[in-house]
Amino acid sequence: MKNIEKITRDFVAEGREGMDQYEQDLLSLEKSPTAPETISSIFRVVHTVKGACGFLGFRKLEALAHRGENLLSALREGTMIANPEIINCLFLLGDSIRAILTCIEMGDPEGGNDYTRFLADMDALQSDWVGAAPGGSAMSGAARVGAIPAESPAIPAEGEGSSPAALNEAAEISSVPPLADMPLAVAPVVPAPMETAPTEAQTDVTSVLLAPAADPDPAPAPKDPPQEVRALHDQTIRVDVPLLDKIMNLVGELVLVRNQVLQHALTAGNGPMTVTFQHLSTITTELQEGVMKTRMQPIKNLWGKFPRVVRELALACGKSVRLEMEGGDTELDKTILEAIKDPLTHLLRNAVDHGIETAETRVAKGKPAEGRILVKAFHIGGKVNIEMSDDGMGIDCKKIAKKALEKGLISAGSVAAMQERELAQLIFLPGFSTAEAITNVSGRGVGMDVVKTHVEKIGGSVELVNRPGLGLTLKIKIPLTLAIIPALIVESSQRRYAIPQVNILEVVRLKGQGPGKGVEWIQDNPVYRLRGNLLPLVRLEGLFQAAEGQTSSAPESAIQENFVIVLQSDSHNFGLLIHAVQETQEIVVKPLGKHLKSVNLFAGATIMGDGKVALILDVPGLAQNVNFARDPVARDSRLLENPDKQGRNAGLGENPVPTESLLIALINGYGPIAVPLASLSRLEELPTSAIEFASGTEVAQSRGRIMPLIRLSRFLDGLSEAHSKSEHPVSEKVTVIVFGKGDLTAGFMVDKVLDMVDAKLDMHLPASRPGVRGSTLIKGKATEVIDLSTFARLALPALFGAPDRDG
Amino acid sequence: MAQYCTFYLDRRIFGLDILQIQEIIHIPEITPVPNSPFFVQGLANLRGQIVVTINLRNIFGLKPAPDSVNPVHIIVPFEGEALSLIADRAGDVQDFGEAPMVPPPKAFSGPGSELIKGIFELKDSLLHIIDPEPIFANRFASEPKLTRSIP
Repeated sequence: MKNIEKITRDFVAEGREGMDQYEQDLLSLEKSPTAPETISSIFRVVHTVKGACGFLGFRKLEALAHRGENLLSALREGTMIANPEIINCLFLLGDSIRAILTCIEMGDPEGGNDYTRFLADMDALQSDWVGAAPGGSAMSGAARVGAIPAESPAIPAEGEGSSPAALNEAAEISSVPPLADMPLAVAPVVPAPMETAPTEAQTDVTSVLLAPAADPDPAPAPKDPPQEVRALHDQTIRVDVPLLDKIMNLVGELVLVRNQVLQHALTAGNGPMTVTFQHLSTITTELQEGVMKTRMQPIKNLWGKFPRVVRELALACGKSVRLEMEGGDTELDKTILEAIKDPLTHLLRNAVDHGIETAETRVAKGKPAEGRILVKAFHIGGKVNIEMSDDGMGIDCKKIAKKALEKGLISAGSVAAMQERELAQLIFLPGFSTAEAITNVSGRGVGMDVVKTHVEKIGGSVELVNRPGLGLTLKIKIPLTLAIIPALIVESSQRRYAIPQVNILEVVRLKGQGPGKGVEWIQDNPVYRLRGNLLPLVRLEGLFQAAEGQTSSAPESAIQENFVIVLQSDSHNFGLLIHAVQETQEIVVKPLGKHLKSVNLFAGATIMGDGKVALILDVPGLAQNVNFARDPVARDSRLLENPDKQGRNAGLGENPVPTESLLIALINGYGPIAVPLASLSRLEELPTSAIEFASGTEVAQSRGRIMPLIRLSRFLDGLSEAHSKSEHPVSEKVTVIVFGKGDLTAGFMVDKVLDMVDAKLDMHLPASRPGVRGSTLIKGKATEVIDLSTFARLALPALFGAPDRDG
Repeated sequence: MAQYCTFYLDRRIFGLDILQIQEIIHIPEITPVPNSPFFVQGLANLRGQIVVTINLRNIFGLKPAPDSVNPVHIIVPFEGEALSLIADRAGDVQDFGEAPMVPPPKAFSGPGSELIKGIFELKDSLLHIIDPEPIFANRFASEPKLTRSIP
């Protein structure tokens, strides 16, 4: 590549961009075979290639382009009409041109491939057309095209314009092992290339070797949208990626120095200097943004190749698949883009090959004949999310389990204990992907472990949402591992921490009166009421201790902190109590190094303007150490959440939270509690004097029976026994909530019944101990919802016995 | 005929092959990292590079240094970056010529013994030569009790 002249290099780059355009146009030509603008656009690309090779002396390429031109002008003039056969031929032409461009780039003029047969075939295609009615001699054309060496087999789509004979012929061709051997232009046979792929230095070479037709274009500059390519291609230059990396690092250092200088400027505070610094600061920021942009590429650069992958594969499998793409403008760092290229292509192939059923099966199942694959990309929570959903058959968990058992990957016992969702996860097990699996398991799971490994290598994660019979959604989350991020610098217990701004929803200043400053407590957990939602609060020190296995022993103490940083983690929002907010800053993320890898609370470290080191908080890591993040219910609803419009109601997580009728009662010194009305038998009011003692417990007579009484306060922490005892005799009457099970009854004493409400039981805080279902907001008050049957069993095990789920 | 740079921890004297040392420097500020392994003191800024600092006293089961000690950082290259080994103070460079290093006795155990590569006899004490490899490899069984003091 180094030895070829600049003019040739430009030609190759230009030719490649042209070919991208060419393929896209061909795909649209397939849909509307007579659109004159499309044909003209294709023609122009081929013509440009031909023109350039004329004076550069690439005879083979010129000959190819020339024949292509002939064919295309016939299409343009309307003497021929594009049929699948011609379009296949044009695709092959494109592949051949790309292959030659690649050879030229490698310094091997035009490569050793012989295209004379292909040229003859193209001529024949044209002369046959002239000589016979459309379709009449299509057979010979198809046969010939199919015989072209080195390229994909030609398969006429849907027999349009082809004779039955042609179809037979084509069917034979396509029955050649369709997946493994078909050199798809974009999707080299997986997973072999994935193992060698994406280290940057190798990319050009490996992909060229493995897939002659693939686009090994390492063009570092962002490519322009296809429509503008022709107008803009002389405004782009090619830059070595290592050079860009070096500039990137230098800019990182520059930002650091700028920050340090800024510190001095702020302390010095003299006029002209400050202005200069501001200037420096602005320029540095802009420079940094510019350099970052050079590495960012829209994901559609990668997706651009997907329509063709789907087209070819769908044809090969005899399926009809529509590909929809959303969010192609989502930008990703070039390295990351390279790294996810193969996994994504693989998933796409899986979706077409194993996910989408054949048209007949689909119709029989009542689905539209055309399968649908939706690929979406978007930024959320500081990560790039890529989702690929299909409306195919999903994963058959039983088959997966059987396969995993056969392969000895899991034991029969563990299969029995697994839920459907866990079973589906088995496809990620290494060793699940084998050639056998392709034929025996009609679900998915080919090479999924490789996909997972590759995504995890760049710090991402793969999640799977399976709807058996309805389709499958794969969610890939990739972190933005960019070197410089905006962060908020905060102070907690005299230490500075940086919080990435992507994780911050808002900063709240605590203004409440008194030592609590508006912070409320549920058990020993501080919460803050933010616009009607309960926000659990955490202290950094508490988290550090919790992660070390110590229990935080700081109950309701006065709040020293002044701010709450509202943080967003995967499934929960939570507030971090901190003492002071310093400023926002662009920080350079430095890794913590091998020895601190096990500490999951920090994402890295950075050097501050004063030269000291500050730790960068890892918000998802913090969330893992907060108890609520382990709440299984919340996790389930997240897993089941369904992004696919068609499957809106398939996931349980989408169901609205049911309303329940609740009795709200007050326990003096504790606060309101809520009891689901369905769980209680009746309410009684007793004079305090009616409480008697029998067999060591308080009892009262009720409807001719002796009913044991339970003081709820005994089970609610934060209220001492003495306190509760002194509380009751004061009032003359007690209210008793009667809980009955069969003939047994028990009375729960409360101080006052406040209200009866219908409320949605969406727990803001999960259950903290047995008997409490969780905490929710009722009429603006944090209220614990309690489960009488559990308390009855706790208080009177002799009567209500061992745990009974029916309660 | 290696040369060894000596350094002190409490009253013990240790040696490290000078070829393994990048530099010895005072670093005023160390940022502690909560929940880090017991032998990590924290992070330090070495001219724009963040280095993990290793608390050798913890590794050898010694009590924390008194405030009067102004520790030195022995910077050793590690996987393209650097680690800092914190010592109370640096000594001098010892050249033992052709004298053989005595391997540590088999019964030699106790906190940090995995670091001891060998021993040289000095006039009035023993010089423990350390090999930082177990630190690089992050290979420590468990945290030693911080009670032992050198008599």
